[in-house]
Amino acid sequence: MRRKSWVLFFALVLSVSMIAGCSRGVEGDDTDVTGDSSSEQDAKDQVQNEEQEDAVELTVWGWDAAFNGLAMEEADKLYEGAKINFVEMGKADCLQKIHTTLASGVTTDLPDIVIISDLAVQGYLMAYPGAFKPMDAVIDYDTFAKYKKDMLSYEGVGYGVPFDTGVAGLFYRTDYIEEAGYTQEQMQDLTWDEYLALGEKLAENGKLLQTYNSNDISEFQIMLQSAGTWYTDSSGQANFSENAALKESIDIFKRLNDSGFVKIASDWTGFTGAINGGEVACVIRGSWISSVIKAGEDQSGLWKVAPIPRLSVEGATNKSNQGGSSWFVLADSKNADVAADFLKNTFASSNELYNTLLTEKNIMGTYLPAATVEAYGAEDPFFGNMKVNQTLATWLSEIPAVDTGVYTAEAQAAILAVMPGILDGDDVQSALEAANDQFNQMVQE
Amino acid sequence: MVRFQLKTKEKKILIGWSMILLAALFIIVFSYIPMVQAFFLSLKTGKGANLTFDGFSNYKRMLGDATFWVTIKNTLFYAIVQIPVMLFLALLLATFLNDPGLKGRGIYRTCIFLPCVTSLVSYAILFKNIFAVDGLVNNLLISLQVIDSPIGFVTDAFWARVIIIIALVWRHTGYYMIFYLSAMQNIDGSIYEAAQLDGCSGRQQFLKITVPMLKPIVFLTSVMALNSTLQLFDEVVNLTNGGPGNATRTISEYIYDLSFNYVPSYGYSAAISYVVFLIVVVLTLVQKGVMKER
Repeated sequence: MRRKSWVLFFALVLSVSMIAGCSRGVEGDDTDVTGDSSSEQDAKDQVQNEEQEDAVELTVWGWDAAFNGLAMEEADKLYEGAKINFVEMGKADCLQKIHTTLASGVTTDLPDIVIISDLAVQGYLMAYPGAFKPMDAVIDYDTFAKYKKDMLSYEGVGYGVPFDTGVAGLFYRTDYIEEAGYTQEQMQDLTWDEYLALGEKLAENGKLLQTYNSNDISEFQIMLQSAGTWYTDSSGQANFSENAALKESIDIFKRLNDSGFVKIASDWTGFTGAINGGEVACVIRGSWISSVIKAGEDQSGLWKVAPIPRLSVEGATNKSNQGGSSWFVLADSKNADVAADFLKNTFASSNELYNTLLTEKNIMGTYLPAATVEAYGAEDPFFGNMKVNQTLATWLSEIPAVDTGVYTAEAQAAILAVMPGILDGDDVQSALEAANDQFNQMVQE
Repeated sequence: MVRFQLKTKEKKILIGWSMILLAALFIIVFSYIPMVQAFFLSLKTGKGANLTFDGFSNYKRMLGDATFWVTIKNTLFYAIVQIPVMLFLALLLATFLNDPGLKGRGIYRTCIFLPCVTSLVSYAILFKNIFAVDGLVNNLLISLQVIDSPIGFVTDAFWARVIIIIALVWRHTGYYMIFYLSAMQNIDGSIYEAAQLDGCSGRQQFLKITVPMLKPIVFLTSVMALNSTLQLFDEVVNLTNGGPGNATRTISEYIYDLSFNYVPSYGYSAAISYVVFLIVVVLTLVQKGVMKER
């Protein structure tokens, strides 16, 4: 009997202490230290020490420590009043975590700053009113590229601090195109027809033009914006069946699909492998791709960049954008004001920061006064001593501004759903109308 | 004396409860309460945090949502093709491995069970590499001159489905085999002896003794398999990302997209989750009915 009582006693104690342990975590009661791991304790001590030194710790959620994390680290060095704690997550995880945190309505333990990719920004601003700190009074948006401000504003209010640009380029292998009888001058301001013709020529020498993935239409973003149009119109409605640029993009995609001069790559590994392995002559992407290209160190000196090919529709240009993201301060975070001040004094005013980022990682911001910094004049031996940064920066101001609206992901999914049919020869017009119906289904309240 | 015994019984009950109290509390707080909350959420419409109560409009929306029906169809397709194949294989393997005359049974069992302990994401990535355009399978088929040019396994609608089913069967067969094995070991050997004395062949023994005796386990495993297939997510996202188009997209992936990839419609995703729940309930009841009839 005695033993049983003991069992009962321990079972109860165990339950109670564990329940207490749970509630402690929620309420933040510091008196009960049972079950407190030493690392937590260390972290607390650290925070306390820092508070004594009047340095606030700003928590930043983001992806890609070598790019976004590095930018934050460099900014941290230039700012006295705070210490940055960059919490790295996968991109999808990060964007999802911001969603779940904001949707839950929890206001404790929020990060102070988050990074959001530009195409997703409008969705967040619409979905969580009041969650992000308005920045109009803090930073001067006129010092940033105009298209960036439009992307970060919702109902006329600017949120977030613009960060990097994805100014698009046609990165090409000089040795491959010369072998096919093209000069570097001929690579400037191509049309898509000329670009595809280059593919034919390359194929004669057993080289491939670029990678191709039938399930990835991210190049459409580049093509659409180069013609100053988008998947959706300014009222947020689908702009599919009457969109000449979209139809031409689909046609180009189909020609790539049917051609014999593309390298099929069904995922990121295949994509980067084809570039670094010397399998393709060209890649058309945002400027962030240069870090991928440069990973193939044995190809140093062989790459150059030219403006992207141009569509034949009216208003088409050789300039576009792909990707890019921006920093946001969460309005309910404990240190929102410090965080805003930090961003103001670094990403929104420091030429020095942008100079470092360009030199270190070719990270190109959208802060216009930084266009004069030294690093822009630097020649890049990897790109045959071309002044890559400067070249890309001059294109930056020529990118047509488009209203990407709230529903880019939905629109892209709707188009992607009809692409297999189109590639099999379905009528494009009726497929786009079907995609339009699908889009309308997806964006319902 | 009577009083004392009653006290013991009370104590036993108390001990029992105190032992499951914690687990029960966790289940209630983290599973049942959210389920009720999710139902209320499914009655709300709006994007992100701007939710308003709107009756059953989310459920009505589903009726006209083509993507929803495509994903339902895909998911049921996986269930109908994969589950019978997998459970049959599991039963077959279990029968072989239950044979006491087989040497090295332990090694075979371990090998067949091993895929189950691999992480869902990593084995999906492994399969993707094996079936890539310049992956192992294509290289092998080309060098054996079965095909001239590589097959785009994950970019072709038909092959993408086949690959997903192969991956699922590879990963989960061993798991269900263990259920059958342990059930077989619980069948009294004297039944087989009696059957042998009556001149029963091996095949008859399998069909007339093993299978009927395993009926409850077959039911259990098919419900479990159905449950996990209806929630299929990791494999599809990592192998094909739902593509090409929507050819391999499952309900779970669609729910995820609606919540996190698109501007979030939490109410609508919750409503779809409830429909999945209802499908599981209905299919389970049907299965139960079928098993009883037999």
